[in-house]
Amino acid sequence: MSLLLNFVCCHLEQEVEYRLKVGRRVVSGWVHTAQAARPNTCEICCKTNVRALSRSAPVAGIFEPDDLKLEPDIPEYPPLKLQMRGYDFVILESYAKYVHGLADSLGLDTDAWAVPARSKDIHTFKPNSTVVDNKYSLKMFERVVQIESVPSPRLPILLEMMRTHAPEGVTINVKESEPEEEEFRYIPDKEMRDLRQQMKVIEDAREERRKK
Amino acid sequence: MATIRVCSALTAVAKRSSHGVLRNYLQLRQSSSGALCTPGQWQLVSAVCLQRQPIITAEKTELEQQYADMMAQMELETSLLSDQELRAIEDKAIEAKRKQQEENETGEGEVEGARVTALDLEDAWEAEAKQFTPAARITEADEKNDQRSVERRLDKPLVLLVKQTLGDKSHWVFPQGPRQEGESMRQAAERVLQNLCGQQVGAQFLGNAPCGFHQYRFPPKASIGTGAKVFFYKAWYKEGDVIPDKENSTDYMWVTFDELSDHCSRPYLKSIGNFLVDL
Repeated sequence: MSLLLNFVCCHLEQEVEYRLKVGRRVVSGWVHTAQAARPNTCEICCKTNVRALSRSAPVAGIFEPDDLKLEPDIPEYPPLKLQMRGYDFVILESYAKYVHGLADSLGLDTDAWAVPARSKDIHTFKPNSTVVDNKYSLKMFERVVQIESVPSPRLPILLEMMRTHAPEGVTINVKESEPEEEEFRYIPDKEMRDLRQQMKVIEDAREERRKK
Repeated sequence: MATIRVCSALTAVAKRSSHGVLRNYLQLRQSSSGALCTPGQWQLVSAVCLQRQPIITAEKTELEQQYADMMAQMELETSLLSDQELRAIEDKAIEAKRKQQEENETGEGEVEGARVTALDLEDAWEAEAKQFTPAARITEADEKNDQRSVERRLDKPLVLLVKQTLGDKSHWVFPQGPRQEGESMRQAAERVLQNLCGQQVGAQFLGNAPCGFHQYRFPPKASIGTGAKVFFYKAWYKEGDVIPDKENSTDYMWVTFDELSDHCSRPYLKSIGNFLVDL
């Protein structure tokens, strides 16, 4: 009795056929021969001595379900950011928590983070002089809730609830992610920058020497 | 009051969603064009629920106010002293020290420079604050009860109702009109709003999917079809005056959700109530 098995080896992208010889039994996917060449494995896998290679795929084949959906039935928005900004920290954070919970309860994939605050120093002057009258130090705090795989009819519901419950002093922006905003979240690595600077100096010097 | 800025690109999501869902749900044979359609057919109608969102936050109820006061008191009692309060304490200490020196009448009185005390600062700030007058919560429109004004009831959401002649009678409804050949329901809604309420009205539509549904039958004598299926689209009012065109819509008003029951029929109210959100 010979069995014809088709499988895709992890090293080769083509289908490889192997025949099991008469007299060899395959017990639960493992071949009980220690010294003979292992059937159902390609040359490369045979040469490795690793016993931990998984054998179930070569023996039983790979299962691909028929009803895989590559696209959802209802079209979805790309990942959106709900950006909340305000000068009043307490109110902003409380609202951001509410929005995160709201997005979760609507069944959306959510992620939330705080963006570093941007400070503003404001000086007011006495009329017709450079004498400082008042100094104000304000911080614009920011919280972001990112939502993914939003079915298109669901976003209006989220926006409606957000607007109904929005407090005073919070500005809300709904948009896709921008690279500059992502860069702003990270603290620049001074050491790395200095090293790169040094490298640049060395390379410039080398080029100049070459020109000469 | 917070406004939400939504990129225009977001509201132009694939039209496929509303088309496909509607077709499957309704199982229509052939979509009708204009007001005329053969008997035994339902007319597809788009309506716009144009909402002016609240501009100021609503007043707290009695319970909410009591709770807020209690929480504020608790926070005050468990908090540390602020810079201003520390300054006030320092001032008192300096004042006491100066009095003691005066009593002792020592010659070595250290005359300190005129120090701006905490109380002085507070007085200055109060004077500055008095120069600012916030806008009135109850506007002129509220006092006159002018229902055509957008400025009334700033703490509540307002909805636009329009007096439309549907058949023989005129009804107070959200601006509605039949869908025409070759346009989606959302496009029909936008067209209806422009036609019935004037070109000046600026609205932000929320998505291509309708938010509500209502159906009614035509009287059997008028052979224009079995009835109409109305799909509501929600839009946020941005700016502009409503100028009703005299053909279809004769009058308009901005009403709160409570006042809707004074003007609309019960079945219509039932369908509307499903998607109107208020605190």
